[in-house]
Formats: sequence, C-alpha cells, structure tokens
Amino acid sequence: MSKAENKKTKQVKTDQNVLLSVDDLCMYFDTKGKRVRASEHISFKINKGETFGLVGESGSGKSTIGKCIIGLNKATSGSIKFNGLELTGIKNRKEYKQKHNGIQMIFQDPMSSLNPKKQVGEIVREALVINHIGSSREEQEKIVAEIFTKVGIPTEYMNRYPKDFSGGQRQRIGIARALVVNPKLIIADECIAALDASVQAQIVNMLHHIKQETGTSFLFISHDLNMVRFLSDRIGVLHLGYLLETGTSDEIFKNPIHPYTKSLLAAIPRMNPVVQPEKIKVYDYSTSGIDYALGKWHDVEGTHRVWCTDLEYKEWGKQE
Amino acid sequence: MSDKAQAVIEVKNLDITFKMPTGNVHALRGVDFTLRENEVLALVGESGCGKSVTAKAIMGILPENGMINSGEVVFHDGGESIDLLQKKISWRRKNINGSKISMIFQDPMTSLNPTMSIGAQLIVAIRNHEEITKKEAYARSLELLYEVGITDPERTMEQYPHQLSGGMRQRIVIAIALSCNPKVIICDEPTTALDVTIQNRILDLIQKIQRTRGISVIFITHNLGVVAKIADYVGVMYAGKIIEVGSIFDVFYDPRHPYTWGLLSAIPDVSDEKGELYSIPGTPPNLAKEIVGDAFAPRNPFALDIDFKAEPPLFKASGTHYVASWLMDERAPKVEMPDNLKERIASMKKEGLLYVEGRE
Ligand SMILES: Nc1ncnc2c1ncn2[C@@H]1O[C@H](COP(=O)(O)OP(=O)(O)OP(=O)(O)O)[C@@H](O)[C@H]1O
Ligand SMILES: Nc1ncnc2c1ncn2[C@@H]1O[C@H](COP(=O)(O)OP(=O)(O)OP(=O)(O)O)[C@@H](O)[C@H]1O
Ligand SMILES: [Mg+2]
Ligand SMILES: [Mg+2]
Repeated sequence: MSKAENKKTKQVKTDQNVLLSVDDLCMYFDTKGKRVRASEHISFKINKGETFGLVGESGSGKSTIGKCIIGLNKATSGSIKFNGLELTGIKNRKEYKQKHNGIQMIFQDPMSSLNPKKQVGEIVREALVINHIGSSREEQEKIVAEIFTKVGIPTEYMNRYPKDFSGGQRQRIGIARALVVNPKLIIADECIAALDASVQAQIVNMLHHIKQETGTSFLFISHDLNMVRFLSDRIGVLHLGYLLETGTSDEIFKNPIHPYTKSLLAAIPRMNPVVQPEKIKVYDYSTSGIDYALGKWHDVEGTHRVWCTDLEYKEWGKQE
Repeated sequence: MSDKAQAVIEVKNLDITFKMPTGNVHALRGVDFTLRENEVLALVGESGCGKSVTAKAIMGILPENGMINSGEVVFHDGGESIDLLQKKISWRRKNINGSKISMIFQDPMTSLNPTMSIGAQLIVAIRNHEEITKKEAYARSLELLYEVGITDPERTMEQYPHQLSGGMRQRIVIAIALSCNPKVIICDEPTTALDVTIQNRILDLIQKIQRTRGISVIFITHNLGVVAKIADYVGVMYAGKIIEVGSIFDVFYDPRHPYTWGLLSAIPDVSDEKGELYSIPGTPPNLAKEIVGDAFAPRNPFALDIDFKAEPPLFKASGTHYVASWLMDERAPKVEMPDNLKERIASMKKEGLLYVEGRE
C-alpha cells in the first residue's frame, strides 16, 4: 500500500469512529427584537465510546448545545451529524424518530422531566414501550427492576411518584430512564449536580462502567470540573456561547492556554479547609480586550485547540 | 462549639414521618444540632438523608403528609426563646419566615413566580420588609442583582424566570433572600446549579454578608469542597440522624465515623490522578422500614455486633466533636480509618501548612 493510500484508509477509519460531529453551529434566540447569541460557531466531535465534557459558566450555552442536538432547539445555522445523518432541518416526526434513535438526554432539572402523575417504574417502562424493547409487560418490568437496582433505587420504590423522592433520588430515576433503552449517545446535562458526593461517585463509576461495557458515548455537561475531568476523555470550555478551548482532560487541566480556562480552573473549591481558591482576579471579558468574534482555531498539540486571534495565541504562549 | 457564642437555633430530637399510601416513611429519626450566632453550620450527607426535610421543618413548610412526631426547634431572638413548632404557621409566616429566617432552595423555580418579572418580584420582596418607595426599591434591586453577579441588572429586571438559565435563576433567589437582612439564612444546595467561578463568588458573597452582618447560616450541600470553604461547623447526616458533628477541622482532619470516612474518600480532588472513585458500598436504608441498631451498620465494613442491635448514642470525641458510633465506646476494638484516607488527610494537612506558610 502506498503512503498516500495508507493515510486515506486511516482517514476513513477515524471518520467511522466519529459518532457525533457539530460543525459551525450557531443558535440565536430572537425575543422582542433582541437577539440572544447562545451558541456561536461551535465545532467539536465525539467519537464512539468517548465522553466529551462541556464546561462553562452559567448561561454560557451548555444546555443550548445539548438541546440543539436532541432537537429541542432548531439550530440557526451549522450542521449536526449523528451516525453520519444530518440532524438539522428535520421535517417531520418520522424523520426525527429515525435519525435521533440512539440519543438520550438526562436533564438538569429532574422534576420537570418526570411526569408527576405516573409511578416512577411506569415512567421508566414507558421508555421501553416507545422504543419497542421487551416482548411483554413482565419482561419490561424485569428490565426496569434491573435498571433500578443499577442506579441504586430499591425496587420497592417503583410504584411511588416523583414527588415522593428526594432530589438526588429523582435524578437517578432520570438516569435509569435514559439508560434503559441502551442508547449510543447520552447527553447528560448536570445529571449529577443534585447528588451528594458518595452517590455522585457511585453514579460516575457506574457511567464509567457502562461506557466501557457498552461503548456508549457521553456528552457530559457539568460545572463540576473535578467530575468532568474524572469522567471525560476530552473537554470543551464554553464562554458566552463560544467554545474557547478543547483538548484531552490532561491537556486542559495541565496546560490551560485561554485566560478564561485558567480562571475557571483556579476557582475549583478544594477539599481542604485551609487551602481555598484565592480571590483570584475575576476574568472579565468586557475589559479583557479579547473579542471572541475575531477568533479562530489554533492547534496547540495533540487534540488541544484554542479559539483566539493569532496575536493572542502568540502572547498566551509566551507567558508559560 | 465555642460555648460563648449564643445559640440562635436549637433543633432538639426532631422526629418526622411522612404518611404514604404504601406506609410511613420515617424521614427524621431524632435530629439534634445547635446553630450559633455568627456561624456557618454545614449539613452534609447522602441524598435522602433528611437535609431538606430538616430545613423545611425549621421553616414550617413541610408538605401536608409530613407529621412531626416529637422535637423542638427553638429560635433565640433577643432575650426570647421560642419553640417554633408550637407556633401557628400563619404566625411564623408573619413574624419569622422571610424576615428573621430566610431560605434559599435547591430548585430556584420553587421560589420564583413564573408570571412576574424579576424586577417586580424583587421590589415586592424588598417592600414587604421596608417602607420605601418603588423607585428606591428599584435602585436597591439593581444593587442586589449586581452583588450576586448579574452583569446586566437593568435587562434582568425586565426578564421572566423562564428566560434565564438555571444558574441565573438561582442568583435571583439569593438576591431575594438577602433583601430582608435576615438573622438566619438556610441555604439548601444554593450553588449546586452554578459554575465554579460564580459559585466561588456566591460563596464569597454569602461569607461576606454572614461576617459583616454577623448572621448565622445553615448551609446544606453535598459538595465537600464547598463545605471546606464556607463552614465553621459540619453536621454529617445519615438516614434521618446527625451521626457526626464537629468543627470543620474535627471533621476534615480527624473524622471518626466510618460513614464520614466514606464521604471524605469519595470525592475526586484536582490533585488526584484518575482511578476508580471510592464509593460507599450498598444503598441507604429504606426509611419505610423500621431501623434496628445503627442505620449504617449494613454498609459499614467495621460494624460490630452491637451495631445491628442497638442504636449508638452521641459519644463525645472532644469539646466540639460528637460522634454517633459504637466504635467510640471505650469497650470497642480500636479501629483506624482506611489507609487511603489517612494518606489523603496527611497530604491535606501538609498542603495546608505549606499554604499557610506561603501566605505569611
Ligand atoms: N428559549 C430561549 N429563549 C431565549 N433565550 C434563551 C433560551 N434558551 C436559552 N436562552 C439563553 O441562552 C443563553 C445560554 O443558556 P443555556 O441554558 O444554554 O446556559 P447554560 O450554560 O446551560 O447555563 P446553566 O449552567 O445555568 O444551566 C442564556 O443567556 C439564556 O438566557
Ligand atoms: N413529601 C414526601 N413524602 C414522602 N416522603 C418524602 C417526602 N419528602 C421527602 N421524603 C423522604 O424523606 C427522606 C428525606 O428527604 P430529603 O428531601 O430531606 O432528602 P435530602 O437529604 O434533602 O436529599 P437530597 O440531597 O437528595 O436533596 C427521603 O427518604 C425522601 O424520600
Ligand atoms: Mg444548563
Ligand atoms: Mg435536599
């Protein structure tokens, strides 16, 4: 095989590995003549079996990206491909169902996503019904019981209603509902935020095992940077709708380039009553002199990329 | 607890059951703690252990199926001591809630009115406690919004809750809670939905207000990093009881209860490398069933025979530190915390020393 051919097959191979690719996605909301630019020229890929962590401050547009992928938001422009199929511009219910098959979302607010009038066992079983999994009610109930055990909810609780659970327990039910249909991609939007540390550890370990056993990919949206680092293969840092830096967990944590990423990492609360984040100089975009609109991608090394101008890239590189 | 500091709220032997069609859920099984003046007490513990129910009982906002079996919630105000549980809800609403004690909830939507603009809600909240003009209240609202980290307060005043992201909503709720200069603030996971930079600023803000106004805070969270930053005292809850309570240093540097050991081992820290996260085996007990002995016993690798038979009392570890575990009994075999945690605490202390030296 010639070198060129070799390269080509490699190229094809990596493409086959891509499960989700987001290209130049923009999402604008127009309300009362005012335009909210929630996503600006977002591009990233998630490979099969990979967990991509999205971090960024409140309002930076994390959920918006998740909602564009799942189809709750109609992207203003750009492309989202899942399994090679274009998800933007879907025309009808049938096309939606066909193309979105294999994507599940776990929401930030469990209460609003669980039907309060249904028993939680039924809520989870419904997902099986919709996806035609399980030949009989009994079989489905058995699968549901297994998944409840897996997420740490006693099966005796299956006939209770969402309101009868604590915040963390509800979130586990939401996770059970997503997991039960064996999805290829799970979009987990702050799915562990309401859980206490020990259960977070259980859930995160569980997600980690599921990922390894089944090859499920995750878009893991969270503001808990320690957890994102722990669970994610690669990380994307969002601010004001722009993806500013992406790379492997180590590339981001050990060698952050963008000043925003640096300020984010410096603010992580430490598990130590004496050592706490300094009152670091808050990163203020409006006085930083940075204009995200002028940015473009700069490759640092490996998969590590930064969104900035040539000049900024040169300057930030010097400060090492 | 520094005995000189005056108690503000004393929760005594609080016992609460929820009536359910499928049977009763024994959510609180005798909760005891004291919140003192000018102190931040953190309540931590696994999901479902009763942190929110405790907060709701103090506020008198338990759901209808919640029954208080026994206990007191004594509020000390000036020279007066009032058992809030003996007072009518209407009285508490008028005299305590939102003026003396205010609460910030886990889910911001529970405290926001979806049909009112943010500005209108803030102005109403402020004018509920102070006789000032709308114009003055508007100006105060802008200040409060700016204080909680909202960069465009004028625009936010005109918006409705559904137009804001989860984090921004929570900041509004915090602004409303701060608007009445309360004596006690109960925060139920207030920063859970926030990113670290904003969380840090909110914690700094709560801390600043707490210190300058000398108010007391009950801070419910499952984030031990947040606890480490904000708390003076920590109460660790398990299955409807406080199982270890002490100063922040007692609990982080000298934890005694095996459950606390588990909690402290379960969090990844930025200084850690990857690997399996430690998680406490098993699940919390079903509170619909009667619990015999120490509720943690079935998950406790160090459980003694007596743990399955009798409930441990609160043993005194030091003047500030109390632990409900039979391991504290003088007849119990000497059990040490797992090596991993020991190493972790040692490096925590070392890092702490370096840090303090570095700042001197
Ligand atoms: N349907 C909508 N209409 C108008 N603006 C919206 C809508 N959805 C989101 N936005 C705005 O888009 C921006 C991004 O919101 P998004 O919910 O994606 O943030 P986020 O990063 O998920 O924040 P959080 O961490 O608080 O959940 C915000 O300014 C938000 O107010
Ligand atoms: N209205 C209710 N009816 C029945 N049971 C309830 C009700 N509210 C709470 N419980 C039960 O009481 C126990 C304590 O719940 P609580 O909400 O205080 O937990 P929590 O410690 O705040 O947990 P989380 O960290 O998940 O918020 C749980 O077992 C819960 O299922
Ligand atoms: Mg969000
Ligand atoms: Mg709670």
